[in-house]
Amino acid sequence: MDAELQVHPRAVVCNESIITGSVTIGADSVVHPKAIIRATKGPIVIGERNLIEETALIENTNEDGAPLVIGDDNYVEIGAVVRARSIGSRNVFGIQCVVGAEVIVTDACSIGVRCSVLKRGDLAPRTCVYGEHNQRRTAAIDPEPPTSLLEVLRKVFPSYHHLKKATVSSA
Amino acid sequence: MDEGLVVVKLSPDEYTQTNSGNKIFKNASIFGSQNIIIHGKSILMRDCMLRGDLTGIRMGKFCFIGERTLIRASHRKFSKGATMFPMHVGDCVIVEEDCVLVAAQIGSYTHIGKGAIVGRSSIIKECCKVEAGAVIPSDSTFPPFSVIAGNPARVVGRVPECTQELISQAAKELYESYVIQR
Repeated sequence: MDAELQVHPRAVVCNESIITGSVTIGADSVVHPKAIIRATKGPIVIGERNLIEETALIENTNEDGAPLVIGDDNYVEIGAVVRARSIGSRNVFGIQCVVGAEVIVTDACSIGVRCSVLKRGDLAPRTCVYGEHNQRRTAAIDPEPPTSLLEVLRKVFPSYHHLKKATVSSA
Repeated sequence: MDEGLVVVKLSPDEYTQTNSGNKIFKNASIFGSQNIIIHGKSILMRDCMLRGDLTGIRMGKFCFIGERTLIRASHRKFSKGATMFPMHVGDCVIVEEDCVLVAAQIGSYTHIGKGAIVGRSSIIKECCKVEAGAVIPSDSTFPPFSVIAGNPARVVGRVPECTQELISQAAKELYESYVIQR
Protein backbone atom coordinates (compact mmCIF):
# COMPACT_ATOMS: atom_id res chain seq x y z
CA MET A 1 0.00 0.00 0.00
CA ASP A 2 2.72 2.44 1.06
CA ALA A 3 4.66 1.80 -2.12
CA GLU A 4 1.92 3.60 -3.96
CA LEU A 5 2.30 6.68 -1.79
CA GLN A 6 4.60 9.30 -3.25
CA VAL A 7 5.59 12.14 -0.99
CA HIS A 8 7.65 15.07 -2.22
CA PRO A 9 10.80 15.68 -0.11
CA ARG A 10 9.47 19.13 0.91
CA ALA A 11 5.99 17.89 1.87
CA VAL A 12 5.13 17.21 5.52
CA VAL A 13 2.81 14.24 5.92
CA CYS A 14 2.11 12.93 9.42
CA ASN A 15 2.34 9.23 10.02
CA GLU A 16 -1.01 9.24 11.81
CA SER A 17 -2.75 10.36 8.63
CA ILE A 18 -4.71 7.59 6.96
CA ILE A 19 -3.71 7.31 3.32
CA THR A 20 -4.75 4.37 1.18
CA GLY A 21 -4.21 3.65 -2.49
CA SER A 22 -2.15 5.51 -5.06
CA VAL A 23 -1.61 9.01 -3.69
CA THR A 24 0.93 11.63 -4.75
CA ILE A 25 1.58 14.61 -2.48
CA GLY A 26 3.34 17.66 -3.92
CA ALA A 27 5.97 20.04 -2.55
CA ASP A 28 5.31 22.09 0.61
CA SER A 29 1.95 20.43 1.26
CA VAL A 30 1.02 19.58 4.84
CA VAL A 31 -1.22 16.70 5.88
CA HIS A 32 -2.35 16.74 9.51
CA PRO A 33 -2.62 13.62 11.65
CA LYS A 34 -5.95 11.78 11.29
CA ALA A 35 -6.61 13.28 7.88
CA ILE A 36 -7.99 10.64 5.53
CA ILE A 37 -7.00 10.39 1.87
CA ARG A 38 -8.50 7.41 0.09
CA ALA A 39 -7.76 6.64 -3.54
CA THR A 40 -10.69 4.22 -3.78
CA LYS A 41 -11.55 4.20 -7.48
CA GLY A 42 -8.49 5.91 -8.95
CA PRO A 43 -5.29 7.72 -7.97
CA ILE A 44 -5.17 11.08 -6.19
CA VAL A 45 -2.59 13.67 -7.20
CA ILE A 46 -2.19 16.55 -4.76
CA GLY A 47 -0.30 19.65 -5.93
CA GLU A 48 1.89 22.14 -4.08
CA ARG A 49 1.23 24.11 -0.88
CA ASN A 50 -2.00 22.33 0.02
CA LEU A 51 -3.10 22.10 3.63
CA ILE A 52 -5.25 19.15 4.69
CA GLU A 53 -6.42 19.30 8.29
CA GLU A 54 -7.39 16.58 10.74
CA THR A 55 -10.44 14.35 10.14
CA ALA A 56 -10.85 15.76 6.62
CA LEU A 57 -11.65 13.14 3.99
CA ILE A 58 -10.49 13.29 0.39
CA GLU A 59 -11.71 10.39 -1.68
CA ASN A 60 -11.51 9.54 -5.36
CA THR A 61 -14.87 8.07 -6.33
CA ASN A 62 -14.58 8.63 -10.09
CA GLU A 63 -16.41 5.65 -11.57
CA ASP A 64 -14.19 5.60 -14.66
CA GLY A 65 -11.06 5.38 -12.53
CA ALA A 66 -9.81 8.81 -13.63
CA PRO A 67 -7.29 10.42 -11.28
CA LEU A 68 -8.50 13.11 -8.86
CA VAL A 69 -6.13 15.98 -9.56
CA ILE A 70 -5.91 18.65 -6.88
CA GLY A 71 -4.17 21.93 -7.80
CA ASP A 72 -2.09 24.22 -5.60
CA ASP A 73 -2.77 26.34 -2.49
CA ASN A 74 -5.95 24.56 -1.44
CA TYR A 75 -7.03 24.59 2.18
CA VAL A 76 -9.15 21.64 3.34
CA GLU A 77 -10.31 22.42 6.85
CA ILE A 78 -11.28 20.12 9.74
CA GLY A 79 -13.74 17.37 8.88
CA ALA A 80 -14.40 18.46 5.28
CA VAL A 81 -15.57 15.66 2.99
CA VAL A 82 -14.29 16.17 -0.54
CA ARG A 83 -15.19 13.65 -3.23
CA ALA A 84 -15.00 16.00 -6.21
CA ARG A 85 -14.10 14.95 -9.76
CA SER A 86 -11.31 17.48 -9.93
CA ILE A 87 -10.13 20.44 -7.88
CA GLY A 88 -8.33 23.56 -9.14
CA SER A 89 -6.21 25.94 -7.10
CA ARG A 90 -6.64 28.38 -4.18
CA ASN A 91 -9.89 26.82 -2.93
CA VAL A 92 -10.99 26.81 0.69
CA PHE A 93 -13.14 23.95 1.97
CA GLY A 94 -14.65 25.00 5.29
CA ILE A 95 -15.08 22.93 8.44
CA GLN A 96 -17.32 19.89 7.87
CA CYS A 97 -18.39 20.91 4.37
CA VAL A 98 -19.39 18.22 1.87
CA VAL A 99 -18.47 18.23 -1.82
CA GLY A 100 -20.20 15.56 -3.89
CA ALA A 101 -18.65 13.12 -6.31
CA GLU A 102 -19.80 14.74 -9.55
CA VAL A 103 -18.65 18.27 -8.74
CA ILE A 104 -15.80 19.92 -10.61
CA VAL A 105 -14.29 22.58 -8.39
CA THR A 106 -12.44 25.17 -10.49
CA ASP A 107 -10.31 27.90 -8.87
CA ALA A 108 -10.58 30.20 -5.84
CA CYS A 109 -13.90 28.81 -4.62
CA SER A 110 -14.72 28.95 -0.97
CA ILE A 111 -17.15 26.58 0.60
CA GLY A 112 -18.42 27.67 3.98
CA VAL A 113 -18.57 25.84 7.26
CA ARG A 114 -20.96 22.87 7.09
CA CYS A 115 -22.14 23.79 3.56
CA SER A 116 -22.69 21.18 0.92
CA VAL A 117 -22.23 21.14 -2.86
CA LEU A 118 -23.74 17.97 -4.24
CA LYS A 119 -25.20 18.85 -7.64
CA ARG A 120 -23.11 17.62 -10.56
CA GLY A 121 -21.33 20.19 -12.69
CA ASP A 122 -18.76 22.95 -12.50
CA LEU A 123 -18.35 25.29 -9.60
CA ALA A 124 -17.39 28.53 -11.37
CA PRO A 125 -14.21 30.34 -10.23
CA ARG A 126 -14.59 32.43 -7.06
CA THR A 127 -17.93 30.90 -6.12
CA CYS A 128 -18.71 31.24 -2.42
CA VAL A 129 -21.12 28.79 -0.85
CA TYR A 130 -22.28 30.05 2.51
CA GLY A 131 -24.93 29.93 5.19
CA GLU A 132 -27.47 27.37 6.31
CA HIS A 133 -29.18 27.09 2.91
CA ASN A 134 -26.02 26.85 0.78
CA GLN A 135 -26.56 30.21 -0.89
CA ARG A 136 -24.06 31.12 -3.57
CA ARG A 137 -22.45 34.31 -4.74
CA THR A 138 -19.32 35.25 -6.61
CA ALA A 139 -16.47 36.84 -4.68
CA ALA A 140 -14.54 39.86 -5.95
CA ILE A 141 -11.20 38.58 -4.72
CA ASP A 142 -9.58 35.19 -4.21
CA PRO A 143 -9.66 33.66 -0.75
CA GLU A 144 -6.35 33.94 1.04
CA PRO A 145 -4.12 30.88 0.61
CA PRO A 146 -2.79 29.36 3.85
CA THR A 147 0.86 30.04 2.89
CA SER A 148 2.02 31.54 6.20
CA LEU A 149 0.23 28.88 8.22
CA LEU A 150 1.92 26.19 6.15
CA GLU A 151 5.31 27.71 6.99
CA VAL A 152 4.54 27.48 10.71
CA LEU A 153 3.22 23.94 10.45
CA ARG A 154 6.20 22.72 8.44
CA LYS A 155 8.43 23.96 11.26
CA VAL A 156 6.29 22.63 14.13
CA PHE A 157 5.27 19.19 12.88
CA PRO A 158 8.65 17.45 12.70
CA SER A 159 9.19 17.99 16.45
CA TYR A 160 5.82 16.49 17.44
CA HIS A 161 5.01 13.85 14.85
CA HIS A 162 6.56 11.01 13.00
CA LEU A 163 6.41 11.89 9.34
CA LYS A 164 5.94 9.73 6.32
CA LYS A 165 9.25 9.39 4.54
CA ALA A 166 9.71 11.26 1.31
CA THR A 167 9.86 9.20 -1.81
CA VAL A 168 11.44 10.59 -4.92
CA SER A 169 8.86 10.54 -7.63
CA SER A 170 9.85 8.42 -10.58
CA ALA A 171 8.18 10.81 -12.99
CA MET B 1 -22.20 9.20 46.30
CA ASP B 2 -25.63 10.80 46.28
CA GLU B 3 -28.64 8.62 46.06
CA GLY B 4 -30.41 8.65 42.73
CA LEU B 5 -27.25 9.54 40.84
CA VAL B 6 -27.15 7.81 37.47
CA VAL B 7 -23.96 5.80 37.24
CA VAL B 8 -22.34 5.40 33.85
CA LYS B 9 -19.75 2.68 33.87
CA LEU B 10 -16.57 3.18 31.91
CA SER B 11 -14.60 0.03 31.23
CA PRO B 12 -11.12 0.06 32.84
CA ASP B 13 -9.81 -1.46 29.60
CA GLU B 14 -10.75 1.70 27.77
CA TYR B 15 -10.51 4.44 30.36
CA THR B 16 -7.87 5.40 32.87
CA GLN B 17 -7.84 7.77 35.80
CA THR B 18 -4.87 10.06 36.34
CA ASN B 19 -3.49 11.21 39.70
CA SER B 20 -5.34 14.50 39.44
CA GLY B 21 -8.62 12.66 38.89
CA ASN B 22 -8.97 13.03 35.14
CA LYS B 23 -10.88 10.19 33.53
CA ILE B 24 -9.43 9.76 30.08
CA PHE B 25 -10.16 7.46 27.16
CA LYS B 26 -6.89 5.58 26.65
CA ASN B 27 -6.91 5.71 22.86
CA ALA B 28 -7.95 9.35 22.59
CA SER B 29 -5.96 11.21 19.93
CA ILE B 30 -3.94 13.48 22.15
CA PHE B 31 -1.06 15.12 20.31
CA GLY B 32 1.66 17.17 21.97
CA SER B 33 0.57 16.13 25.46
CA GLN B 34 3.42 18.14 27.00
CA ASN B 35 1.53 21.30 26.02
CA ILE B 36 -1.83 20.25 27.44
CA ILE B 37 -2.65 21.20 31.00
CA ILE B 38 -5.82 19.79 32.49
CA HIS B 39 -6.30 20.93 36.06
CA GLY B 40 -7.98 17.75 37.17
CA LYS B 41 -11.33 16.00 37.60
CA SER B 42 -12.13 16.28 33.90
CA ILE B 43 -13.51 13.60 31.63
CA LEU B 44 -12.32 12.98 28.09
CA MET B 45 -14.70 10.61 26.35
CA ARG B 46 -14.13 8.12 23.55
CA ASP B 47 -12.37 9.26 20.34
CA CYS B 48 -11.99 12.87 21.37
CA MET B 49 -8.99 14.68 19.97
CA LEU B 50 -6.77 17.30 21.58
CA ARG B 51 -4.16 19.06 19.50
CA GLY B 52 -1.45 20.25 21.86
CA ASP B 53 1.14 20.11 19.11
CA LEU B 54 0.08 23.42 17.61
CA THR B 55 0.13 25.41 20.88
CA GLY B 56 -0.87 24.95 24.47
CA ILE B 57 -4.32 23.96 25.65
CA ARG B 58 -5.20 24.82 29.23
CA MET B 59 -8.32 23.36 30.76
CA GLY B 60 -9.84 23.95 34.19
CA LYS B 61 -11.45 21.54 36.62
CA PHE B 62 -14.61 19.50 36.07
CA CYS B 63 -14.60 19.79 32.30
CA PHE B 64 -16.47 17.22 30.27
CA ILE B 65 -15.40 16.60 26.68
CA GLY B 66 -17.86 14.46 24.74
CA GLU B 67 -17.24 11.75 22.19
CA ARG B 68 -15.50 12.62 18.91
CA THR B 69 -15.02 16.24 19.95
CA LEU B 70 -11.98 18.02 18.58
CA ILE B 71 -10.12 20.74 20.45
CA ARG B 72 -7.29 22.57 18.73
CA ALA B 73 -5.53 25.90 18.67
CA SER B 74 -6.55 28.73 16.40
CA HIS B 75 -4.28 30.86 14.28
CA ARG B 76 -4.25 34.32 12.86
CA LYS B 77 -2.17 35.83 10.11
CA PHE B 78 0.04 38.77 10.93
CA SER B 79 2.44 40.71 8.72
CA LYS B 80 5.31 38.58 10.04
CA GLY B 81 3.51 35.31 9.37
CA ALA B 82 0.91 33.19 11.08
CA THR B 83 0.77 32.88 14.86
CA MET B 84 -0.97 30.12 16.76
CA PHE B 85 -2.93 31.15 19.82
CA PRO B 86 -3.10 29.06 22.97
CA MET B 87 -6.54 27.88 23.96
CA HIS B 88 -8.03 28.49 27.38
CA VAL B 89 -10.97 26.52 28.66
CA GLY B 90 -12.36 27.51 32.04
CA ASP B 91 -13.73 25.38 34.88
CA CYS B 92 -16.91 23.30 34.66
CA VAL B 93 -17.21 23.45 30.88
CA ILE B 94 -19.50 20.79 29.42
CA VAL B 95 -18.89 19.98 25.76
CA GLU B 96 -21.18 17.40 24.20
CA GLU B 97 -20.28 15.02 21.39
CA ASP B 98 -19.13 15.80 17.81
CA CYS B 99 -18.10 19.39 18.50
CA VAL B 100 -15.21 21.23 16.87
CA LEU B 101 -13.59 23.84 19.11
CA VAL B 102 -11.06 26.11 17.44
CA ALA B 103 -11.70 28.94 19.89
CA ALA B 104 -9.19 31.16 21.66
CA GLN B 105 -11.08 31.16 24.94
CA ILE B 106 -14.06 29.38 26.38
CA GLY B 107 -15.19 30.81 29.70
CA SER B 108 -16.08 28.85 32.79
CA TYR B 109 -19.55 27.34 33.32
CA THR B 110 -20.25 27.16 29.59
CA HIS B 111 -22.37 24.45 28.05
CA ILE B 112 -21.72 23.58 24.40
CA GLY B 113 -24.39 21.48 22.72
CA LYS B 114 -24.01 18.52 20.42
CA GLY B 115 -22.34 19.11 17.05
CA ALA B 116 -21.55 22.77 17.59
CA ILE B 117 -18.66 24.36 15.72
CA VAL B 118 -16.79 27.12 17.50
CA GLY B 119 -14.88 29.01 14.84
CA ARG B 120 -11.28 30.10 14.72
CA SER B 121 -10.06 32.46 17.48
CA SER B 122 -13.55 33.17 18.76
CA ILE B 123 -14.06 34.03 22.41
CA ILE B 124 -16.96 32.76 24.48
CA LYS B 125 -17.18 34.37 27.89
CA GLU B 126 -18.43 32.80 31.10
CA CYS B 127 -21.79 31.08 31.65
CA CYS B 128 -22.82 30.91 27.98
CA LYS B 129 -24.98 28.24 26.44
CA VAL B 130 -24.20 27.22 22.87
CA GLU B 131 -27.17 25.37 21.38
CA ALA B 132 -26.71 22.09 19.52
CA GLY B 133 -25.57 22.50 15.92
CA ALA B 134 -24.62 26.16 16.24
CA VAL B 135 -21.88 27.43 13.94
CA ILE B 136 -19.92 30.22 15.59
CA PRO B 137 -18.03 32.26 12.98
CA SER B 138 -14.30 32.99 13.19
CA ASP B 139 -13.05 35.89 15.33
CA SER B 140 -16.39 36.45 17.07
CA THR B 141 -16.82 37.32 20.73
CA PHE B 142 -19.84 36.52 22.86
CA PRO B 143 -20.62 38.22 26.19
CA PRO B 144 -21.29 36.30 29.41
CA PHE B 145 -24.74 34.74 30.02
CA SER B 146 -25.73 34.57 26.34
CA VAL B 147 -27.62 31.79 24.62
CA ILE B 148 -25.94 31.27 21.26
CA ALA B 149 -27.63 29.47 18.36
CA GLY B 150 -27.90 29.30 14.58
CA ASN B 151 -25.67 29.24 11.53
CA PRO B 152 -24.01 31.76 11.63
CA ALA B 153 -24.52 31.82 15.37
CA ARG B 154 -25.83 34.85 17.18
CA VAL B 155 -27.14 35.67 20.63
CA VAL B 156 -30.74 34.52 20.89
CA GLY B 157 -31.36 34.94 24.58
CA ARG B 158 -30.00 35.06 28.09
CA VAL B 159 -29.42 32.28 30.57
CA PRO B 160 -30.64 32.73 34.17
CA GLU B 161 -28.36 34.43 36.68
CA CYS B 162 -27.96 31.21 38.65
CA THR B 163 -26.22 29.49 35.69
CA GLN B 164 -22.90 29.38 37.52
CA GLU B 165 -24.41 27.28 40.32
CA LEU B 166 -26.47 25.14 37.94
CA ILE B 167 -23.63 24.28 35.60
CA SER B 168 -21.04 23.76 38.32
CA GLN B 169 -23.43 21.37 40.06
CA ALA B 170 -24.19 19.62 36.78
CA ALA B 171 -20.50 19.31 35.90
CA LYS B 172 -19.64 17.89 39.32
CA GLU B 173 -22.51 15.40 39.14
CA LEU B 174 -21.40 14.41 35.67
CA TYR B 175 -17.89 13.78 37.00
CA GLU B 176 -19.24 11.65 39.86
CA SER B 177 -21.62 9.70 37.65
CA TYR B 178 -18.96 8.46 35.25
CA VAL B 179 -17.22 5.69 37.15
CA ILE B 180 -14.38 3.56 35.89
CA GLN B 181 -15.33 0.04 36.91
CA ARG B 182 -16.28 -3.30 35.43
